[in-house]
Amino acid sequence: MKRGKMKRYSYALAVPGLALYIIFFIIPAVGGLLLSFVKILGFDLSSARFGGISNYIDVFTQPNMRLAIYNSFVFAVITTILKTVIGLSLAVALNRRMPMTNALRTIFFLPAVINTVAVGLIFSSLMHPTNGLINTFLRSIGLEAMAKPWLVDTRLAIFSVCAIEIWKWSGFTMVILLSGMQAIGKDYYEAAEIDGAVGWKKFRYITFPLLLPAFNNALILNMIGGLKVFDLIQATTQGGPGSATEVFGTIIFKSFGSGRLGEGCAASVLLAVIIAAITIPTYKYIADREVEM
Amino acid sequence: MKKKVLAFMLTLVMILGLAGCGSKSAESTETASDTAGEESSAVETEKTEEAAGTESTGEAETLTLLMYTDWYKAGWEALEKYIDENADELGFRLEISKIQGGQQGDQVLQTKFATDDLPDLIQVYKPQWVEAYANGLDKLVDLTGISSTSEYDVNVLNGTYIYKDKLYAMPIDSIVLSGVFYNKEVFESAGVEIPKTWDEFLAVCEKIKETGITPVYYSGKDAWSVQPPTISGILNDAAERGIDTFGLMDLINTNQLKFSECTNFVDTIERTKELIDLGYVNETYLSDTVDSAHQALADGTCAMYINGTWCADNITEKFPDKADNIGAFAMPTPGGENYINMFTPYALALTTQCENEELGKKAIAFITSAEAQQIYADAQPGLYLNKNVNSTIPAATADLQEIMNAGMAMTDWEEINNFSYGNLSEPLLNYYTGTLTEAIDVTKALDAETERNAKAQGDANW
Repeated sequence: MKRGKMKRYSYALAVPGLALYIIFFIIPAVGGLLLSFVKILGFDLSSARFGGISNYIDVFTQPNMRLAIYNSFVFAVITTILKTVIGLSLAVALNRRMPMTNALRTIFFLPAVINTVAVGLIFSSLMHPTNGLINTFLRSIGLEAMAKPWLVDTRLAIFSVCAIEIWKWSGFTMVILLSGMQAIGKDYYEAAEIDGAVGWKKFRYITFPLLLPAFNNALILNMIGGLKVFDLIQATTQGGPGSATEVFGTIIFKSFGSGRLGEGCAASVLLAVIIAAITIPTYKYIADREVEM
Repeated sequence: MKKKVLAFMLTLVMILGLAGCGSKSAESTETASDTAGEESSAVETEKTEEAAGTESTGEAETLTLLMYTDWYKAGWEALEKYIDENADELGFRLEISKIQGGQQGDQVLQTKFATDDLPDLIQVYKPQWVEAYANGLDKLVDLTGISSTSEYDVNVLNGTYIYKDKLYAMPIDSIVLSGVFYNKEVFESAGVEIPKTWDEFLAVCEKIKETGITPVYYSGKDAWSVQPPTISGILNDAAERGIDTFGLMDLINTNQLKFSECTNFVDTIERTKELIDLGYVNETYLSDTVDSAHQALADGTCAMYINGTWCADNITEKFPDKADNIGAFAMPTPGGENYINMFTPYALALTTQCENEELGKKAIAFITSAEAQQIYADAQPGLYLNKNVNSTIPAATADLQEIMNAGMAMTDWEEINNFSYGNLSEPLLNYYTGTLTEAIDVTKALDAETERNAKAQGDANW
């Protein structure tokens, strides 16, 4: 086939996917960016007027903004670290032939497929200060001091939601890392064993370096998920008590909910920029080291 | 060659598939963005077809009605059944859709108004709410002249249902009065009387606490329910100025008065926190719900619960043998001038999306008529605005009705504001949990949100 024909052929195949991408991603994204500079009330286009950066100023002057940013970062850091560590530990533990291996993999992955609203309701009940199963259990084994108002203590609530997120998504991280581990050839391990490597050394010098692409993906997915968290917060605390667990996602939701479309778009753009500013360098940093390691 | 043909065929199938999706989507877009009439027509044709499968005559037209799930109670249930059984005679039947209430429900309604995705009939808080929160007053049909209005006192309709010289809606459901609901047996065994002033209220709480019973129940898990104890405070601010809540909200709507300048309101907020600080409120109030409050009040594990007459209705329904043991009084103030907040009934409106406007008006006229309202009231006793409706009300509601009849009730101010003040429960809970340190900060949060929304609407007063 001639080169020109080959080009046309490949472009033709790309058209459907490209069209969908443009219609459902590029146009809404550009529209959102443009709307972030417009003062508009609800969807009433007749009320639209150019507002410059005032929507961005409004986002930063929201009364709970500082708390929302703090909570978003606390949530993202804690959940990313723990989901990755727990996911990696589970992947290492379950990357071998044992009785029940498949059953255990399924059990650990199961929380990821449960609806977030259901998870929110279940944990709201489990974490009730007086009737909740967690505190009842703690009291029954004599650990009264550890029984806490998990979701309603203003200082504790965000960490409790972090714990739920970690429970829900560690299994998902495990699956990503497990698939990465299973792609590593046995030859490497056999060679390492001949050289006398065992346990930790095999993990340090073979598993982890070869797992790095999958690890990088899991880490970035967890960071993005943590920074743009909304559903779990809404299902468990709705940003409360008061605004103790307010995050960037709930601020955006409230802006849209109050009919301040421009402000909501501005907040969404800011969130996207923040996520990109953190995740892209992180991804590149780790990706660059894949070769070195 | 075969490969080329196969690749060509595959590409063709993909493109045709996409075009098929596109045309289907274009059709649905066309339907969605089409004129109101065509949309309703399409919907109604579908419903008539559905009805044809189940009904023998199929003569009655179906009207869609949207409301919050919480609002569909025994009254609506009985009335819907009656309408369904007499649909041919009435000329219509209802297809009622229910969505979750609260802040999330409000947001769904706002979106529906914004995108013209409206049913034929809609139950809303008030026409003012539709204007202030959904910017959709022009999507409600003027009902002026419908027959059932003669059964209502026009002064009662004025200002709420008759708004800006148009009858935008008719009342549905009963009046809700807010006050302090108390368990009579608990009061008796503690040897206390109904308090008239704040000091007396604190003394009552102390005595009840000594008996080992929780004096006051807060249900902070349902965040909205922390508002009722505070909202009566602003009524004293209105009374102090010699105006009612409509007058007070006029001042706030035109930026001549701030919530933070309503000193009685600020003091009331402070006093509701004082109850927590003094240990008179259930310790787990942030995890407790409205349902658990009703249960606690009914079985006497708490003495008082500050809320609306929903509380009495709920206790009557769930614990009928306990209903007479519950009474109510106005939230006491330091000066003893105790007003109660009156939530006028919800509003039933006809939207511009209804193709058959005459039938829509006829349906609303029937639903709000004495005949239909009596069916509603028999199933759900309460205070109804239709003059020809008689209803046996719970003892607690009767207590508050007495206060209302004595002229100590004012229309709820929360639904007659022009600009959304946001969510009172959020700064309140921030204050209760220590994130905000002063009561005035709660009202300042309302001011900030009001200003933000007024500016967003381009109001000249801000």
